[in-house]
Amino acid sequence: MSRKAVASPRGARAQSTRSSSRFHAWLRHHRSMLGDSARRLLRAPVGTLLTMLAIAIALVLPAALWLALDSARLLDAELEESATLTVYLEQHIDEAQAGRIDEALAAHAGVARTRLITAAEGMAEFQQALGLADALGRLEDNPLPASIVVVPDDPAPDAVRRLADSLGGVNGVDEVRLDLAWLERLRHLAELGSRLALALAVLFGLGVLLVVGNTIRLAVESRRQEIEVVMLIGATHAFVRRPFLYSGAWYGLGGGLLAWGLLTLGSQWLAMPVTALAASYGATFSLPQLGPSGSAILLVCSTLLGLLGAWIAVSRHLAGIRPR
Amino acid sequence: MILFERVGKRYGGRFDALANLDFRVQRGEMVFLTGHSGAGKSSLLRLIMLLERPTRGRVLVAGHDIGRLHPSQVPFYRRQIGVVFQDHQLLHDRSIYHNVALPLEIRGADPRDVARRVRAALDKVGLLHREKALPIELSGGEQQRVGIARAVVNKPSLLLADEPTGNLDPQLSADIMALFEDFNRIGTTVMIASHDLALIARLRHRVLRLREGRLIGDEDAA
Repeated sequence: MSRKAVASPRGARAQSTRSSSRFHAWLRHHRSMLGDSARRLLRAPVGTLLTMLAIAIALVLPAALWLALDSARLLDAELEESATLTVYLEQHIDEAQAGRIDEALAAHAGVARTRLITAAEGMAEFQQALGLADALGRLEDNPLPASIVVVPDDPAPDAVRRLADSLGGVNGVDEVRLDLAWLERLRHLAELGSRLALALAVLFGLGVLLVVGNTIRLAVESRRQEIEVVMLIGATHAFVRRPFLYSGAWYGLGGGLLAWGLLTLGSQWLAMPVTALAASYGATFSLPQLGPSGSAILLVCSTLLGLLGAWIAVSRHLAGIRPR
Repeated sequence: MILFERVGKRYGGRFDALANLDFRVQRGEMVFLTGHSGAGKSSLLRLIMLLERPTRGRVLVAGHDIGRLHPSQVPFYRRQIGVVFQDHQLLHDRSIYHNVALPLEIRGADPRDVARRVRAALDKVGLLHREKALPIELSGGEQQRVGIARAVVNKPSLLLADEPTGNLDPQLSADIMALFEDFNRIGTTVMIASHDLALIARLRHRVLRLREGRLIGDEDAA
């Protein structure tokens, strides 16, 4: 037997050209598979669109929930800033005494500022808010006590609760009301929502993997003969895998773009009623947008999910394909 | 070039497809492998192509024990062997040109090089004028010639063929065999499995006879 090894992997390596040209060949194959996989998808536009739409829908739900939570968090931060205590003074306290208590509270530790609402002012506000001027005007005595709105230094619920306890001991104070309960409820809701969004994101991400994986599995199956032939004549697994990975990435990217479109469309669809609703509460509130970074994250995630789904499907199926 | 040392292949723990094979094929030889269907011709070729591994013994190709190749090296090994299949194994969704170019694309050859070598291979099998055609538009004999062009486009030092004339009439079969002889003349080692005894007898090359997985005859060229 000749010692000159030609039919051997070492021979193959010696025979194959230098690494730079090998790199170019690799790059060339990547480029050609990028185009080839796109053309294959475009050749069956309806099927491709349906797959992408399935991916898009799976992405839209968690993304929309995430956006909603984001706006809830914004709202929450605003509310926290306006976390105040209302200190109701005893009924018999007159305006001068109320003023003195107000000054005392303002000097109290942990208090940022105070605002005194005298009994008369309180009545006026009440009448205005309820539009019951006539009915209330008929009352002989003003049943409302004077009150002081206290803005705490530290808006954290625990700190506010401690402040409320110490303010409750001040002379002339009847009751300290804090509106923390609903704030906390909102925070719990937000926490629940964000966990829900995370769970949904994981589930729907898995859904995207399955959609892409199944589509790629069918593609692999339909090109089985071709795969067997190229493996017979020396294609590596990476070579065989490449076009399918690109298909998966295309599906992911397409799905991501569609999801982005759906989200944009949806937020425009909802913008008008939301603004109107907010205006009726005297607030300006606009739906949060994805923004450039959010859009980038959405597209990158969807593309990676597509790639991963394709990788899993192809790897699983290549193991089962052996040239005959 | 090829050395079988006490090679056995057993399927399912019971059936011996090949048993105790010992033979050697020199570089530049042309060898026919013959026997009834089921005698083990295809199994033997599959061992050389590393589609199967022997259950016993060693197969050496070009001095290397191919049984010890790591699976990741197998594709690179296969690129060194040209294989012609009875059923051509052409890809029907691409032209003749691209079918023949496939081994070069797999190797990542330079595109300018590819065109030159594909045309040279097609010219050799007389199908240069059909390079744009799809396999389905060609006759069986022409498809087989495309298969041969694809097998030789890499300039392999070893060419294997499994019943390359299986479905062809005698004249076409003779033409195909003449092509293999041409490649052998320029130094390619050729091994052809065939049961067309009349044709083999006329061609006067070494013949390995198999029966039930055993080598029962090794006749040198007359």
